[in-house]
Amino acid sequence: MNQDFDADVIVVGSGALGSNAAFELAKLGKSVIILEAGEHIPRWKIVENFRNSSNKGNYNSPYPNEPWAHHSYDEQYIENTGSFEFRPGMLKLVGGTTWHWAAACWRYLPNDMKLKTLYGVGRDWPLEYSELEPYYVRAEIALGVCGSDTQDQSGQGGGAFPPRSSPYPMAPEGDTYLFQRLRERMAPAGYHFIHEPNGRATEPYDGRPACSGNNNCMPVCPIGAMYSGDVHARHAEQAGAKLITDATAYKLEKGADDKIVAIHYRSSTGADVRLTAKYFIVAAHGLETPKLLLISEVANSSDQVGRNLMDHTGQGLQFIADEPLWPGRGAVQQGGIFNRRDGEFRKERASVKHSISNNVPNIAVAKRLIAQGVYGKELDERIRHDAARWVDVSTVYETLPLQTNTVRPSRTRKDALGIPMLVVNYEVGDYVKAAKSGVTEDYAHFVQLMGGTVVEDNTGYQNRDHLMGTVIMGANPKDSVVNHECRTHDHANLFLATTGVIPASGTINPTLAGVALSIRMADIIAREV
Amino acid sequence: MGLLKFPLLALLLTALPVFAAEDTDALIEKGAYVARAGDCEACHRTAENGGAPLAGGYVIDSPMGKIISSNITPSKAYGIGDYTEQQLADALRKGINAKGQHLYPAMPYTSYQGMSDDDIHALYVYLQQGVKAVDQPVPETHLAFPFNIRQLMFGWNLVFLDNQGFVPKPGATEQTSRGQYLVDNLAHCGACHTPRNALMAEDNSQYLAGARLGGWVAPNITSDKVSGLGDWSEDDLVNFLKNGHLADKAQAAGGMAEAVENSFRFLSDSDLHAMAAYLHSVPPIRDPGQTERIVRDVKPVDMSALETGQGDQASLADATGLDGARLYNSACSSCHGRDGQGSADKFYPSLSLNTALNGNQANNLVMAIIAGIDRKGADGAVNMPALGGDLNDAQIAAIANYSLQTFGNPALSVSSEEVTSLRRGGDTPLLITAMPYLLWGGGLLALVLVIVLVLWRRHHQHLRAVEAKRIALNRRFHSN
Amino acid sequence: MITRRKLLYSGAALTGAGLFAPLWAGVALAQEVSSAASDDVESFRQLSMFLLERPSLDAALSLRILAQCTQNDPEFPQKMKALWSKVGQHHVRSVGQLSGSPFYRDPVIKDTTQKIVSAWYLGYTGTPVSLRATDGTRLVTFTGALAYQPTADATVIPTYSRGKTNYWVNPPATLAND
Repeated sequence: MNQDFDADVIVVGSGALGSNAAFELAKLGKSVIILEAGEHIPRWKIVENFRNSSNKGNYNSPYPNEPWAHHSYDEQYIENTGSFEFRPGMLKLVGGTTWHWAAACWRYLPNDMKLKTLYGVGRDWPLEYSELEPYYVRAEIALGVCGSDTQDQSGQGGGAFPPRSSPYPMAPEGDTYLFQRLRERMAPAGYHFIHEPNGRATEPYDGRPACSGNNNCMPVCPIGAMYSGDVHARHAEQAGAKLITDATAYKLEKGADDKIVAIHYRSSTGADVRLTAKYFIVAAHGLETPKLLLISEVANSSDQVGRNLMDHTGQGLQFIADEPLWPGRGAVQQGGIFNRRDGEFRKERASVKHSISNNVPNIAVAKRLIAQGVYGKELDERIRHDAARWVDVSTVYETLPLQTNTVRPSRTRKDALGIPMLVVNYEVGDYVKAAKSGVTEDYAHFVQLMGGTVVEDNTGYQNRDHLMGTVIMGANPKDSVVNHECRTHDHANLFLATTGVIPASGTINPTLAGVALSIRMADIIAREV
Repeated sequence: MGLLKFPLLALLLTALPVFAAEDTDALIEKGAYVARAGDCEACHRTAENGGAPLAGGYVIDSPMGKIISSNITPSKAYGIGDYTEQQLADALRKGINAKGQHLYPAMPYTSYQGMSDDDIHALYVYLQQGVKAVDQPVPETHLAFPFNIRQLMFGWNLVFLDNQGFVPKPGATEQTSRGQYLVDNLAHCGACHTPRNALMAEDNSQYLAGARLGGWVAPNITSDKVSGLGDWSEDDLVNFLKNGHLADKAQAAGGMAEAVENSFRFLSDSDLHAMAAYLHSVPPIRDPGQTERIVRDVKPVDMSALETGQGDQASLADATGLDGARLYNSACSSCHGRDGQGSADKFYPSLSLNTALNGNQANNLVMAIIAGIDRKGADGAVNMPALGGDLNDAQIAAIANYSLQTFGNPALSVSSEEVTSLRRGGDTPLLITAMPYLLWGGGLLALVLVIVLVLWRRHHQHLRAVEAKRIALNRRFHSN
Repeated sequence: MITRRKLLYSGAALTGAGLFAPLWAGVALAQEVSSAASDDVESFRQLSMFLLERPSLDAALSLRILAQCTQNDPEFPQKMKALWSKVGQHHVRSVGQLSGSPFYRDPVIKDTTQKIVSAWYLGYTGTPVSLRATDGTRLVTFTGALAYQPTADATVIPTYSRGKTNYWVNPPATLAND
């Protein structure tokens, strides 16, 4: 290791993206330090916390909310100034927010990456699908993704798409009976049911057991069949990276010729440390990454840092079908209806994805029946009846980057380390609103096809925890923060490994693309360090 | 025209190739089977998972040091491409390689010495023609003094290498004879399941009675009904070997999981039955002090004492708890059930009907928690995650003790220190711990011998000198 | 995890020198017991059995629910006993007749009923609030939540497994009668 620097590369954040980048670099012999604001918590402890949680629907509740490492549901942590209460699930511990996700591992479509060119809205990605494709392959191997090599994932009923240079590392899990029956009854109406490629092992993989349907992906997989970022935090450490916990980065220090020369972090013990490195990667997810840049006053000659905040704002549908379908057997989601994933309509309105949930529904079912005054044995019978027929659809909309959807450091609220917390201003845009009628139409059609009784079909817009756009990627330094390498335009040795770089949201979960970009940037950095 | 036909016919007849009385493809297939049964791949694999077959480099952690398996692909530069069949036979039966060096008995030549000529021939053809040559060298094995002196194996072999070849036991049937050949020779079960004496050779007075292997224990597989396999049916045994598990009884882990994955799941049913029949005929040996296998009922665990709600936020990050019931529930019950009952389809084993908990030692229970289990059997692949990185020694002991009390043999217990030791691979054999003393002792002994020798020579010289003088004197006095 | 083929043979037997770990002791519910008067406990128990139409209920959970509801609302024991005595006064034979009874129109009666049934079925007391780090809810039980019982043969209590991968491709065996 070079004596002039504490490390070749310092990575801020030990989530899936930061840890994968750190692992790739450590494997190539680079000295790496990972700074993690939270602590290391073993899986069994999180399972224990979950089982003891009094609010099982609160997916952050098994994870500690510390005064120096808030998770996102702390009221003080995110102040919302818009009319939408933007509150994504976001965690601070070794492994990051992929401790609680449902492991959806999609690739963006080539058309997703050309939104502006093809549809005249939003922005293009500054790179081609074909340039990212080999990194999708490596990301799928790293995360242990199972998926279909034959389906048209664009939902248009064609052949295998998007193009793949390598088959999925594992074959998909079997279709749940729920999925089979929904498809049987709804596909004839033209709905394309697509398997969701996911990071759940379907056979033992990288020390992880195969999924056996414990049905708790959110908020924690009790057996580790589902990928979470701690897997690569561990791999990175085994490959020689040094992981420092309770280390919240608060300042990137600029030096001569616009290089970042050092990073400053604080810990809950009161320590204040300055570390130097040749290169820096900030992998602090979509809200903390722009915040760090803004409070450090770096990388923002474009004035785009913290703007263009996108989520896959969504809504939901619950209804009781006319036949027993038995959700709650298997993992919590498996796939969905993709007809509206792409098309000319994107010139005017958002693309949409409907995802079929497969959670054990009993608590929601019982709550509703008790509110209706059903008690005693009748309650037991009705619970069984309704739970077997419960259909839960989670819909997501594509969103566009708006200058006024922002995340900023708070000027008034600071955490226990004296570091500013967050202010978010988020409005649901017209692009989404224009697509709502299509969703309403779909919902009515789903209910009709399944002989359903609606429980809830107008939830209003909801958070979906997919943070994008806040450190937007582009070819032009005047209107973007990073280039196609995820290298900041302003600082040649500062890279951003976060889904916050994504310039066009599509409708699919962005984590796999984020990991692919992180592996790619590690390759790039390794050539220069 | 007729004259022309004759030479043509003669030409045809002479041109008919005299086929060797062997079919190479069938030999390669047979040789591959022999290699599976002998489990060459278990040691002669590469250091990384998924490498080229039999290319060597895998490190065997022996107490004498790291022994690195050799490349046995037909590479001429780095493998056995230049070996004659006799040289292969010598390696297998005598433990001597083509360079004339003694092999360490990590290579189980003491078992392979019973291999038949036919099997060795088929294996030879397979290794030379059925395996892809890998032109990669592997590192040399360098053990610490005095084990690096390979010539010492000559003496060890004199004492411990039986070179009788395969001799069926008295009363053997064709089936048990085949079974004995597989158990004792090809599958070399005794290499793990027979305990070793002070000089690390198999102790045949305890044939297949079980042995400790670096943390894990290879159990007693004699026909004893309590300590061994006497109460397993022949089908039970066949299914266990083939699939790596037997519902409500046992599962293969550690080295046995590897043996199932690399070897047993590929063997024919008739061979597995032969092994089972033979094992049932092996003399029973009872483990000292064991009178029964504990059978426990599944009792519902009181969850209201464990589900007491969350504490403050800081407590959510506190992973230092030592309550065995709580730790079991958090770390183990997701698969093994709150009541230790496993899953209804037996995919996740029951803990109350499990030899890892109801026998007379708990090493394998602790090792399974530390190292997990990863195994492919004929009926699929299974994985129990390794929890050693997420639990400290005291916690593992707490879980083990809770499990033994609640589901297993309550007379067993595990201390935190024992877990520490098992993590490191268990106790070191006497031969190694004693070696420094032996060397010093040997050195001293050598010194004493040298001194005695010198003194004896001097004394002898003195005696001769005295004798010479006496003769000379005698001559002088008696010459007239 | 790579398992090495080890050749370590130990002469030392596994001695019984290990610490004999203390037997797991049940968590004392003393604090919950002491806060509830014994006639409250008995009324609550009987009322719960009536509302849930079950001949017996877990005593520890019963105490826990009573204690939590009382902490949330000091008048809960009176409300609960009022409900129970109304049931008796009006000769409500089974809970199926409860919602038809005139006294059920009293919002306090209805609210008390639902609080009790919810606590038993959902496994918590208080009202959950989404998107907040903490709220006023408290855990009663997880695996004991009665909402999971009616489908226990077919689905899991989340985090606990059912069996081998892909068991879910088949419907439950009871499908024809569901």
